[in-house]
Amino acid sequence: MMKSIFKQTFTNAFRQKHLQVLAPILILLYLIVAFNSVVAYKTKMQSFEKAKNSVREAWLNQGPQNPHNSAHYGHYIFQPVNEMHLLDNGIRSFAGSILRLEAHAQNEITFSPAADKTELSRFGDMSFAWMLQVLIPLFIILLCFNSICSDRENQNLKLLSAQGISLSNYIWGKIFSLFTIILCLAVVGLVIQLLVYLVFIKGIGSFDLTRIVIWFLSYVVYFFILTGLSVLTSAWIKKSNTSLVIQLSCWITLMIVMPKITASAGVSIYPMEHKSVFNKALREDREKGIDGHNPEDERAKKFMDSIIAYYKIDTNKVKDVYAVLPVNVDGLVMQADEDYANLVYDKHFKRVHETIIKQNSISKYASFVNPFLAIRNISMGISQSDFSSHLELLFEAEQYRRYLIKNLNDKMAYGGSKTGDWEWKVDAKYWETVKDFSYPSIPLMKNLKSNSIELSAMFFWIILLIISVTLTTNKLTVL
Amino acid sequence: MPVLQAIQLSKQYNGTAALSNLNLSIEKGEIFCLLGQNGAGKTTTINLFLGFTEATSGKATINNIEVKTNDSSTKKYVAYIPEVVQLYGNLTAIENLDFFSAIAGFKYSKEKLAENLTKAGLQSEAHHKRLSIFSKGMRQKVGIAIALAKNADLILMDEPTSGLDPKATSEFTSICKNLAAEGKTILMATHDIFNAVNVGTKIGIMKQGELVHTLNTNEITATALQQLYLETI
Amino acid sequence: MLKTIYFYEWKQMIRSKGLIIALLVFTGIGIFCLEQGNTIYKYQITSLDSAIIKKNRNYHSLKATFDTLDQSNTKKSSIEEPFFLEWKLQDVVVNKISPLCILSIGQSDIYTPVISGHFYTNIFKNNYTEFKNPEQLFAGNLDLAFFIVYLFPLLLLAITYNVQSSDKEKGITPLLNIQANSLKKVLWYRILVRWLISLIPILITGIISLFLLSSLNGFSIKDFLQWWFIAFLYTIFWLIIVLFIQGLQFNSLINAISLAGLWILWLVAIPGLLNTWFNYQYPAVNTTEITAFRDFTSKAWEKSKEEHSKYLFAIYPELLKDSSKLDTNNIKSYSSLIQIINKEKELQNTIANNSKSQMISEEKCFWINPIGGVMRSFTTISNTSLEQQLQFELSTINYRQNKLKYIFENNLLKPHFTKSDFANLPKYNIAKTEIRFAKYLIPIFFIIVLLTVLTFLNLKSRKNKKE
Repeated sequence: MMKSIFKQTFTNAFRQKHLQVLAPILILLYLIVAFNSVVAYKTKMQSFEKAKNSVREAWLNQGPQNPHNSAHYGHYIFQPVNEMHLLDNGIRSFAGSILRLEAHAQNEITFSPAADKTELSRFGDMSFAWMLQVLIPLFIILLCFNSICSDRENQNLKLLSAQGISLSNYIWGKIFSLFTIILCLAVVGLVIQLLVYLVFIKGIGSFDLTRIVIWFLSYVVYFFILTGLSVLTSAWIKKSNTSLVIQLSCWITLMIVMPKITASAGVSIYPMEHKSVFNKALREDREKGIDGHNPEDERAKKFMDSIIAYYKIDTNKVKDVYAVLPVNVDGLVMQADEDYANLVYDKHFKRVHETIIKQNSISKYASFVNPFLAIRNISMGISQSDFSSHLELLFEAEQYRRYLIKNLNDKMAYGGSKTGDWEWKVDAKYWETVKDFSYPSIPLMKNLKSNSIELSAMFFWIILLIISVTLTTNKLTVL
Repeated sequence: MPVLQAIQLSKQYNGTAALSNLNLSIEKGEIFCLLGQNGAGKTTTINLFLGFTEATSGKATINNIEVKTNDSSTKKYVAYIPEVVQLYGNLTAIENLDFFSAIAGFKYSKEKLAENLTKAGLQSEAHHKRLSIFSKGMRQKVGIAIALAKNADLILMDEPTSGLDPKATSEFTSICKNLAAEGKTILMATHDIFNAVNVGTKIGIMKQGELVHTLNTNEITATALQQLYLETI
Repeated sequence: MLKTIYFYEWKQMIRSKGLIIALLVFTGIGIFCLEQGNTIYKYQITSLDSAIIKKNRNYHSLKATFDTLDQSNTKKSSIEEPFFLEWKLQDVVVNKISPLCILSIGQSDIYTPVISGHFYTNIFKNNYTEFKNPEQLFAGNLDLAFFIVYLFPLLLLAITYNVQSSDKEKGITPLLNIQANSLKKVLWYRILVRWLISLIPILITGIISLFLLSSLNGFSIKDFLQWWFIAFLYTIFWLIIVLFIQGLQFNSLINAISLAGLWILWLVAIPGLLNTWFNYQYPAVNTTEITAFRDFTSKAWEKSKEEHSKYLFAIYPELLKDSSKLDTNNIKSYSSLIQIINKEKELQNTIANNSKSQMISEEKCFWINPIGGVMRSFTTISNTSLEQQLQFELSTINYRQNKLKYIFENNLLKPHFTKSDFANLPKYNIAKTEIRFAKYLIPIFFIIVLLTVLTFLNLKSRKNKKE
């Protein structure tokens, strides 16, 4: 019986004129999106590689230089690009793309691509993920909105029931057959994307297939849920055009309005502190520490005294204590300043990041009422284009900044210079000993773990769908 | 043993009686035509025998098996032709027949399917055309073919000649007679008094959910039936 | 006839529970949108106010310090030193935030309205930028402009898509045709009445917005009315689309698919495709240029004093006379900063030109993306457009450049930086921008006229055929 429903649904769907027109348009859009992703990826990758290499090159070619000057000269971290961003660029356009690492300050990442764009950019741009998240559901609606109610309207349902069909088989048959059609459309899209990537991007062989498979599987579940819900709506609503209007309204509410409402709700419930408040709190805390650039600072003086005591130098006997010390106290003071500042930055930035995480949690939990939010977040997570991946980059960058500055301060302290000698320069070869920043590679499991709420929501939707279909088959009448 | 039987069968919708204590018995090979105004209970009767709706009281049986909404055990004995036979416009006549037969558990060869369509009166050149271009009469023939292919003992028809032209109605009548001759039992709800007299072996007139008259067609003329019908309703 | 239709359409509508719920829901969303806009506006105003208060406090405190100075001796006090003065001043430059930002947030949640006014900083490193949640920016804002642009058409389409077709399907059309002199008029009037009904949530939010905005500083009734005029024009645009599609006399299902298709085409597909294209055509800031700017800055400071003197004396030959008396540190600083700020301006101009080129291309595309024109008009009136932000950023650099010049010239050329010098420090004035949005609306206006003509011709030809 299932086979017959499959065959009938397939034939019926492929002979529908609007689908015959829309399917080639969809394929054309797949191609446009694939080529656009390739061009964007290549541009971003080239720019990233060029910038990364030029910064490293500039670092290595500093020549003889004072380490602290170099600490101010700093380093840059750029928003990295990986192959998964071809599929889902996520929030990356709205997150900063350049982070300056330097002494004394934990800077914020700046230059979000969206900042140079007009208000029209807020309409969003097309990516393969966007097509799967937003456009394919439209196809699902077009295919399924009258899947059952049209049978009811033209009395085919009565005839089918008289022929002995069980409603359970009928509904599941409809769901599975329509889902298979949708799956075919999505698989065609994925194949087009991967083929275009393979042909036009050299060295793309490093693609993480497991990640892609998991990524696509999450969409398969999403399509199954939406197909099921659409078919069920068609069973509950008796008129085709009412079903279409209701389903289109749901599409707009769930995919266009609700993400904005949940995001706004997050900001309203967990308001972000003003920068002036943050800066004031940061400044007050920092003032409690050592001022690395001010030898007159009381705490700096005390710290210097402790160094002198450590090296057991008798200040009554030795006239120029700093000339005798085997270390450059300036370097040690600056590192002490950094160590303290790091604690302060950790405390304050943690608060800010926690606020953002809390704001985003509203959208996460809203996945239980909107499967679109679940798949959007899961997709971004697996593609490493979500906020937690961004945060991971910021964390790693900050760790590197600390490593870098400590390295430079240690060189200043123990490299052979004397306290107060700001003209002292390290050998040009020294720069090679400072390792370059290694961009974080987040394991798939970690990405999935950070989206555990959304994954639970998907599971919840599957269970809900099964229960709903069972209840519907019990309650549905052919009249 | 009657093929179809209704014993004190009643159905209420929101407290309003659609069918009241219907007692009906149709034997093998009979064509029973139900006449009555809109809302008289004809379609409700058919729906109750199809198990589309649950009886408020009483019982409906087919081949002595009680019809229940959640039990499809009687469905194998029943074929159905609705008032509007739409079927699937994007499928051809033969594909529609194949699909509906398969749903009923029959897998026929192409030749057998074509044979059924021809038997239902559909010309062979229309067999491979999509139903979206079919007239109502042609779609009705596919509906009959579906009923034929199921080879059921009982065929329930809900106003099958509504909207058909006289030629199509005449063709339909002769098909029904042939089926009865083959031993099939037919229960048909209709408004067409003359066709009822022509095709039916028995006629029932319903009024406000009650079967008020049961007549043998060989006992009454069409004009007399019309007179009785008008007096009754 | 209009009166009869008006009366009975209202009666039908009022008796439809679904419509009442929809109107209430839409009004609720509209009010929510206003609340969202208001929250963002207040947030920005708070950061703006705190920056201005801090700036004024520092200014007055410094002014008081200048009162205590004894500038009779030759040695300059530390407060006269350019860097110290500037550091103490904690100068900031603030953009004008229009109360209309409540109605259309535009890009103002991404842009920063407060920028450091220090001559030694740069526009790319702004400590006043509020923290942003990228996920929230990605989801976008729910403001009244969004409500009108995205949601209003849906309400209109939902209540009008089957005005004629459902009559036809129910068999009422022939009856109406016989009863009425002109079926066309009946259809038009009925759609018109339903359009008026769909305007109810907009009208309510409009009235609330007037109360909300009128009490705010900088509220301009002219701008407010202009904003609502655009909103009204946009509602007419959709009214004409509905009339056009209904005139084609499809069935309800095709009407629903066609109207929803147009909505998706204009609000999702075309803008999405155009954005994809523009992202490729006009890629965001070049990272290498930003890092090159750091290297330029670093090298500028590393240049020898001789090089700096040579550079500065070429600009100020009058300094050569007393060159030995000049503070070499100030020469180095001034020379470095002039070069750096020029480079910064050059880089900012590159970024701005890229953005401007994109804006021009976008404007050309308003013929296929007319709703983009409506959005741009909204943001232009609300002072939340990219063009206005670029203007603000550029004028900030100009201000910093003027201040740099003023402070160093006075320091180098005069023995003392006096209280009156301090009082005459250049002031940042927000450049008054003329709000010009008419050109953005030409395409949508053209489409309205074209569709009106086509609808009229179509109905006329059908009438002739019938005759």
